[in-house]
Amino acid sequence: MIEVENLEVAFGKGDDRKQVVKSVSFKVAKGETLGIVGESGCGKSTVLRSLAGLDRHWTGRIALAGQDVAKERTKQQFELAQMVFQDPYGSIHPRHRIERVLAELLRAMQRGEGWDRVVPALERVGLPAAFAERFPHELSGGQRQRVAIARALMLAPQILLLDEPTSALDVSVQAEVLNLLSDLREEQQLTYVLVSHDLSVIAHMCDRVLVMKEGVFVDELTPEAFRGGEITQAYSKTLFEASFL
Amino acid sequence: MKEFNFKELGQRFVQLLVSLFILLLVTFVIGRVLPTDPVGAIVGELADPAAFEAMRQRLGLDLPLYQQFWIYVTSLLHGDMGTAILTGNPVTQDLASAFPATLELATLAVIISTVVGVPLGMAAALYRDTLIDQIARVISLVGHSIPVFWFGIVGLVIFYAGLSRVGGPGRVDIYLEGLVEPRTGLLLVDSLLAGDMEVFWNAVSHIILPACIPAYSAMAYITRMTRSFTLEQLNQDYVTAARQGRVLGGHCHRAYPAQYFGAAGDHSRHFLWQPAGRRGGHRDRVLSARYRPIHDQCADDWRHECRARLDADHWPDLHAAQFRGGPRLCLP
Amino acid sequence: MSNVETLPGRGGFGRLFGRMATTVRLSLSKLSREPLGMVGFIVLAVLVIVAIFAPWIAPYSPTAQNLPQALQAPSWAHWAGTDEFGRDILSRLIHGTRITIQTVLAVTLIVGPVGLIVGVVAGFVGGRTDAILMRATDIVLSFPSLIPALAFAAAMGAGLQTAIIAISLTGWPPIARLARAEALVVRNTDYVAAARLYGASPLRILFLYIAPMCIPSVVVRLTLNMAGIILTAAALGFLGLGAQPPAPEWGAMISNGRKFMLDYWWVAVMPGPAILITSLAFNLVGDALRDLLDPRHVRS
Repeated sequence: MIEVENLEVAFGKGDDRKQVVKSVSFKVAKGETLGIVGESGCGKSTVLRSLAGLDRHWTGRIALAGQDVAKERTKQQFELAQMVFQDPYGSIHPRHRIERVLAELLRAMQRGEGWDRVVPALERVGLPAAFAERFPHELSGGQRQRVAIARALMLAPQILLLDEPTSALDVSVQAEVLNLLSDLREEQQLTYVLVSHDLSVIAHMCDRVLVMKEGVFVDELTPEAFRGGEITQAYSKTLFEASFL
Repeated sequence: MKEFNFKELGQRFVQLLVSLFILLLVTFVIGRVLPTDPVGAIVGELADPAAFEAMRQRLGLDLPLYQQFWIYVTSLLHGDMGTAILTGNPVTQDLASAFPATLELATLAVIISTVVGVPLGMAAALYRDTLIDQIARVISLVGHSIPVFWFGIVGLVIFYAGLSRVGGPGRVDIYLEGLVEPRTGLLLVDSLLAGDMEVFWNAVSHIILPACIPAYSAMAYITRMTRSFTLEQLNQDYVTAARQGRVLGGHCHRAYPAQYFGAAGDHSRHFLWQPAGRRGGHRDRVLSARYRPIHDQCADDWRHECRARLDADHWPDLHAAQFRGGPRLCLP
Repeated sequence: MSNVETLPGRGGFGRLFGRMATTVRLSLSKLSREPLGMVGFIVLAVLVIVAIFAPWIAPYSPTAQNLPQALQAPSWAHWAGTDEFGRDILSRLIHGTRITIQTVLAVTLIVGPVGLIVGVVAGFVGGRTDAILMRATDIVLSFPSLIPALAFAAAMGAGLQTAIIAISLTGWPPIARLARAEALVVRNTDYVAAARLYGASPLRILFLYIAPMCIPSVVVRLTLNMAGIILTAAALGFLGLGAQPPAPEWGAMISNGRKFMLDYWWVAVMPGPAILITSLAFNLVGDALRDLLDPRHVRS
């Protein structure tokens, strides 16, 4: 579903040039959930943003659903992959009602008014239809993240890119949102790339985990290895211990 | 505090030069494109065509516009601001004669506004949401809203005409004029140096009203700013800690100077001194096309502004931040 | 689409009106906790009413001369006295509100959109566009606001329109600066990133996502600016560059009264409170609006 070859990302020019991602390659199969873990600043979010088409500083090759994509995406390519952001307080326009937030995608894509698609989209993520009229500030963090997920699914993408989707939420709400994501994946045969520094989230969700450090992948783990604590690579071990001890 | 950055300073300097050039160009164009006729104003409407043409040539008005502009800029760079077309005095001389009075007035106004505004603002912040705060707020709001030219008239009517407590137009009463040797040009200083207390107190009575009135407008800004900066500092933990035993003055004041410069820059235009009773003179002068001095006064005003802005460092960011933070540091 | 009407969130004007009523009610209840702001709003409302109904409210004609009644001190017949032509000053002040409100509205309608667009475009597009626009803004900002007005009046002839254009010419840069600062923040938010991901065009992002976020602070700023506009307009009138006689412009009335100020003080003094109160009301309303519209701002 996703193929990445020799992806490099660098920001700045001349002396200020900073290489954030150093030649990484990976593949994600359809229906699979790939986890990427690492400390903050290791480049994991940058990989995700390059996949989504937000960062345009990359070189290498990215293919989504068997189709090579350029730095500038076409509308059809945007429909392949959508992203859920970390902070549900910042990722929804504060002055748009929820109905507008959801309908905007179809309107921007010039696929009609989109109002009729709002209620089904809300119901899909377990929110009542009445929420369509509310403003984001009238919703809780968990509810907002559900709206963000509903928005990401609006264009029926095959790939969902999740950037720390639960780290801004209360612990009690985190489980609900993760379960929702699991259910949606089953229902709609979605492919996920999940970036997190929370190893328990990764262990819960992922079929495969890549450990990232300073712009390269240093280890690849199975969730079984994760849960059993059978980790051999030194850096993964430190990360693991720091997180669970 | 930000590190001193020479590269940035250089960039700012270049920006300043570009802005200055464009400003000169714009003022020049405005000045030259005006349909008013400076030649006619000097030689008179009914002068014969030969005299008219001679004056046109003397003023350089027969040259192409870009040449006139070149002459204008080069002579400015040589410190020659030209001759005021109407009075025939060199503009530098006109400016020089007005400058000490302006300086004296502005200094006094800045002192008054600071001496009153800072304590008032601090008191308002310390006693936030109490009667003191409300009073300070009303005082500063009125200061923002009052038309200065009207306030001056009211001042004159009450204190000069009504109570005879202050001097009227001029820097001293006529019978005292020219008694003191002009050493610095600042009459208050000169009279003290000469030891002539009569002239000194007379000058004080003449300057106090013109200084207080623009000072009130400036004070309105200063009070507001002081209040919000003090609040900001009070909210920081170290002051909260220090507050237990110490006065906050020393802590809070480090952050102020740059912003004060900004305020002073804003208000410098209120302080431009003109001979009393000629406040409306601007108009007459423009309308009679005495336009060189306007350029220069404009450029001069502008230099004030730029200096204030350089001092206030990162003005645009400050601007946005301060809008959120409360006081409005901006040009009216 | 026919099924649109049955869906929640879509409705005709009735629903829209209901939403607006709720917003207004909420704002009013917030405002009632802000007595000074309330006073400002009331004063402004009164001023607007006075401006609209000036001919019916004013006891005398603002321009009819009555020389035997010249320079009368304030009395029951003439509350604010009469000027050198025997015109009732109060009536002139009442008619003057029209000129003032007109000036303020016209300048705001020019300055607001221009400043907003320049600032938002500069902030959103960035790069060279930003540099050029902001340089232009800086240069305009460095003009003392009276100078272009003087030049303008000399070039085009003094008058109300000249004054409006002149004030507008130097009035937009602060708005542009503010809008740019806001746009710079909004440009980098996740919701704009999300909009990019669903292919929203730059224009769509600019007008539907960024500009609406800048409007509240621009409105607050404009209201506070109105106070300054009144002062500048009065100053231009004072210098004889605003509305021309016999129009009852407040600044011009003060200037006119200067000639008799030592003997007949009321001619010069009376228009002052009108300017002061109007300007003060705009300042109060601006402060109150800031509290209402800008939730990030804690009053200081």
